[in-house]
Amino acid sequence: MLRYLARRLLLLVPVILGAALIAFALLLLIPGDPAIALLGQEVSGPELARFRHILGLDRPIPVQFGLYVWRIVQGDFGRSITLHAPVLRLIRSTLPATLELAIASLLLSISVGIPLGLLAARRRGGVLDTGTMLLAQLGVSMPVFWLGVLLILLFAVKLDWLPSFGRGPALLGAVASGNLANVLDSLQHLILPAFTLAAFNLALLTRLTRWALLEVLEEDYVRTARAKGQTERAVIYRHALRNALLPIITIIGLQFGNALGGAIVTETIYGWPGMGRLVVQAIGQRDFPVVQGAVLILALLFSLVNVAVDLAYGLADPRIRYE
Amino acid sequence: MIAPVRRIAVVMLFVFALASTMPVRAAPAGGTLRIGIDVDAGTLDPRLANDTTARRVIEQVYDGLVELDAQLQPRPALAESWTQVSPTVWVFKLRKNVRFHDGTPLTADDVVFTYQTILDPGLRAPLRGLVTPISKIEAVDPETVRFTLSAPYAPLLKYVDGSQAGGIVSRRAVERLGAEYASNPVGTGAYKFVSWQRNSRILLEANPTSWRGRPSLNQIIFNIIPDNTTRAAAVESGDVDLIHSPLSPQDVRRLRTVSRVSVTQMTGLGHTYLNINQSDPILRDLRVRRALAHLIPQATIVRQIYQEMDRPANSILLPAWSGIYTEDITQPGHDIARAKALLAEAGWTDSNRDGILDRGGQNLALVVRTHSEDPNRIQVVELLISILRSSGIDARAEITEFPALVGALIAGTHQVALLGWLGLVDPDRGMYNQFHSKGSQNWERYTNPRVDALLDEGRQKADPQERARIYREVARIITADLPYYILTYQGYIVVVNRRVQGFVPIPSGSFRSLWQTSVP
Repeated sequence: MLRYLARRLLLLVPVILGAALIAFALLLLIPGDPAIALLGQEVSGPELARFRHILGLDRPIPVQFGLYVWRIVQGDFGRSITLHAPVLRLIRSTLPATLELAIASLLLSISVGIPLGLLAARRRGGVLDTGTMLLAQLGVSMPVFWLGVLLILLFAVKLDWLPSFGRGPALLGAVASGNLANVLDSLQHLILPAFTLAAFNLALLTRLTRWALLEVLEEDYVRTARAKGQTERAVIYRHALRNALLPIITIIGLQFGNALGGAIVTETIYGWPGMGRLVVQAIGQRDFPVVQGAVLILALLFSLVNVAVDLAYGLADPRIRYE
Repeated sequence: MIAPVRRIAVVMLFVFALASTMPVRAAPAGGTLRIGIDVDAGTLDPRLANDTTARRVIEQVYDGLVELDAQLQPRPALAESWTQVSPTVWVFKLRKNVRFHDGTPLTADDVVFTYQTILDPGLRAPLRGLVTPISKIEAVDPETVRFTLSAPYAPLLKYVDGSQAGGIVSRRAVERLGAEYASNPVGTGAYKFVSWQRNSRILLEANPTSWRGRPSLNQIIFNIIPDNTTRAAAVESGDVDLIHSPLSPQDVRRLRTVSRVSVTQMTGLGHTYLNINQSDPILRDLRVRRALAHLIPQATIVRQIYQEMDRPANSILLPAWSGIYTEDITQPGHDIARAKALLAEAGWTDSNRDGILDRGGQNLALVVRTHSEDPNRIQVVELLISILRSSGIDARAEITEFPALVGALIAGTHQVALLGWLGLVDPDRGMYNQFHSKGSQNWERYTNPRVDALLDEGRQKADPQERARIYREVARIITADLPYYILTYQGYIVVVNRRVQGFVPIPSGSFRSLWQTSVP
């Protein structure tokens, strides 16, 4: 198990390097120049050339990449071209907000999606099942930006129950300090963006749980369990659900990655100060160091989640062994 | 030793004396103003600022030598007076007893340092080009600064305004903080910088010792809300007190019906225009450029796409340039028949009956570009494409992000591009670099010796009537030659909660009046 973990973690190195290379290459492929983003429309030809030289953009591409990797290895992510600040500081100041949003949305989709799916599976064909599946269909097909605006107009403008934008105090910090007002403020700001980001995943998870459970309920061992006279409750929770969990865990792992990436739209709509917006802005302005740094961090996070998912399989199913 | 009673009497007297010197207006000192703004600032170093948010924050934290009023006329700010000693020498007398937020006094040395660093190419100051005619800047004494110019430069006073290129930085703070100065600004302005959470908010507090007197507000919060509709919802629900352009026309229409807020609309200091490349083999022909102008349904675009938020433009002259603007100069109007006649005259006919105009075996093909950040501009380009196509032109849209668009313009590989200029405080700012054959933003490759001579003359003439004559003539030539087709005068919209008192919108988008604004 430990050897497996060590090997998986070691394998992260080429994955991250690959991600760095791809991020680097893609930025070179798209037209546009960070020098222009920096100078705006006030730019002139000779000035542009001078800036490119200062930024090192006139060097051969392999040299640029080599220097970049060399700096990363030393822990130097460089400075943002347009934001005049170290990249690591920018990431450190925005990543917690994105993680808070992504984790909240994931918890929301798990804690609502799985029970709803279970319920639908148990009442298969009933009114509850049909209703849940209709809602789930709506959830997977509704565009995030539209849902977001709709929720703001309803809950912030019409009902005036929740704030229309922004993030409250950091939730973890608020909980740790035990300040109830701060916790409440934080949750009030969090609920709409977390739900908006969760809507798609929640719907997907509901449908998946229902399908996986129905599949397992057809298995012989479930019939055996029923024949032994176990209660329906025990059959579902002790026998069926555990097996149905495997595809669900896979999807949850992927969803966390999606939540990190999908947070970009949600963050923009709600003015949530996360890393998604930082990256989108940086791409728009060709701020290479920020994009590259952020891609590295996201790739690392995503890979770590994948390792965690693989380990979780073992918890759900004792037959899985790590060699 | 003073007896207790006498001590109390002395204190009382002191308090009364102090109270009587306080301005009456400061009495209901007031509150926090929450602003909703569209983008985060890139930097809060005034010398490096390149976005509208940075400028809105900087004009609270910093002062320039002068500041422009709503009529764009310079008023004293850090300089209490100035004299033009000769056509190329300006002397600025600094206000006495002005202190930076860290308590150090403002001296001529700080002004010299600010301009010398802006002029230093190594700093990468985006607006450096506005002050390059300054050849020498020196401190005559701690309260006097002398600017020596390489040639007479009439617009100088407009450009040393604090919300243009000229916020004066503290030399000591810059040298102490280095690169960190960009996120820890130290100025002389009415509000002091407190904190900045990237992509979230920038917090300022009143500077009680400001040379203007104590500002009315205790705090200003700039909330960064990138989505136009969310920003509109935030002011509608009372979560913020003030928002301004850019706003989407649909949201503005809704906000006009909300009783909690008031909507003010005025013509701003910018225009949206088509940049027409004069070096393009097809567009080199003036008849084709005129035909293009005749095909643009300007009134429809303003009504349908901008929903009257912008105004149809007559010429390159902005209505805000009082004394220079005139309605008498107009561009070719919407006239499809005339456009077709012009194209035929230029030899473009549909000889092979395939529905597309051609000449010498070559189709009349045009690519119209714009940038993806502005949905209204994308709509305009799509409309133009469909109109050009129905007139037999093989037209195609190319939408890219802003840096890619400007990259193409600099390289001169474009044919027609839709974009805009903002913050045109002076005709020189709107024309010199754009139309002078040596201009740094002459992306349309326009050369006209008469225009060059006029633009050079405009920089040297301070007399308002002379300037009006010069810039009107340039505008007439531009209207005839069509390197630019000016589509709209950009509107400027401010939505303010009715609780807010004393806020005066300024067409440049400046929040300069915030020092006397209050939220009871």
